[in-house]
Amino acid sequence: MALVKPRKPVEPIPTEDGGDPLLRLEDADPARRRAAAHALGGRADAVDALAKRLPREQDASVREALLTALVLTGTADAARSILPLLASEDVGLRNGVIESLQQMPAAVVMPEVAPLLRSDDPDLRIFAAQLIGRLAHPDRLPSLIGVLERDPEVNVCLAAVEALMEIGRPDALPALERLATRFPDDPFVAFSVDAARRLFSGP
Amino acid sequence: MREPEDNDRHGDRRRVLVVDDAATVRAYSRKVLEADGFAVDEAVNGIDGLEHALANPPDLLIVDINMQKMDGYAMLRRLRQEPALRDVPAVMISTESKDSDRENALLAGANWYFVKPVRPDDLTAAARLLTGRGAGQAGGQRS
Repeated sequence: MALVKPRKPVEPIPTEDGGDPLLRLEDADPARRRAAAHALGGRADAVDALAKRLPREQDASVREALLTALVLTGTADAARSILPLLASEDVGLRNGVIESLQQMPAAVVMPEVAPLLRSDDPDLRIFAAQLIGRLAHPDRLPSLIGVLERDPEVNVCLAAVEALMEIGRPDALPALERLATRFPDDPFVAFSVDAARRLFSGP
Repeated sequence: MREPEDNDRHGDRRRVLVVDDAATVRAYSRKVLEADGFAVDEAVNGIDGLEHALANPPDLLIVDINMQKMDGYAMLRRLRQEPALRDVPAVMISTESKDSDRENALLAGANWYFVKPVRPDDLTAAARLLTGRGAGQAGGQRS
């Protein structure tokens, strides 16, 4: 998994007229919207406005600024506000959301993301498994093992396998072995479990 | 036009570039394709894939959709703007099975779309078809 470069803290930039940056988020000028997003970084009262602007924002640099502002806020509200965007059909937005959630405190993000592992949408469960694998949180191992034990969708299980391999915890091996018995006819499952077995068993 | 020998460190075998951020998927694709006589290169995201493809144009691209830094759609759209890569066939692979995903893949420039996990025979059949390799051609020799 590629490591994500932490977003650099951005110094708030006052809007040109000193007006309310919340209103400037809807300005026709992308530069003003970007400046407004910068100015709102870390402001808990701006979370709703920043999150609502995100799915409508077409300018990539403004979108980046909106996500950075929410990362700087870093609260459970901020994490919760962008979780629904994981269901967006805009893959760039989805990836931006995943990247942003990775940069928020794991203790804040985990309680918000973990329930997605029980979503009816397998795509959301895949994103949740991938994200949980990247959170430095004590619950990530049991959460991912739970996916291997229970999730009926093979692609969700494979996302958990990939995450577990990157975490590199040999205590996941028994659950991986059981996964192979749940999907005995899938050659990719067999290949993945074998790769994990070799990784965790050492040379 | 590129001569067959140009930049081809794999001899006459047809070359496939697998672009996926999951190491296991890349390794699996390599195993399946190499067993069928293809030569395989790997890239870990769209940017890496573009760099690989520009430096050494492959005969076939196999591209995941969900990748950080540059997703598969963005990579293919960018790649289709390059004269040397415009006509390289591309297979997109994703965990997502919605009709819109398939449509988006084709709109981005893909020639084929698979939902993961892909069965080995399906992958090699698509690779053979898209590279113009007949089923009876052993070792992936260029025709």
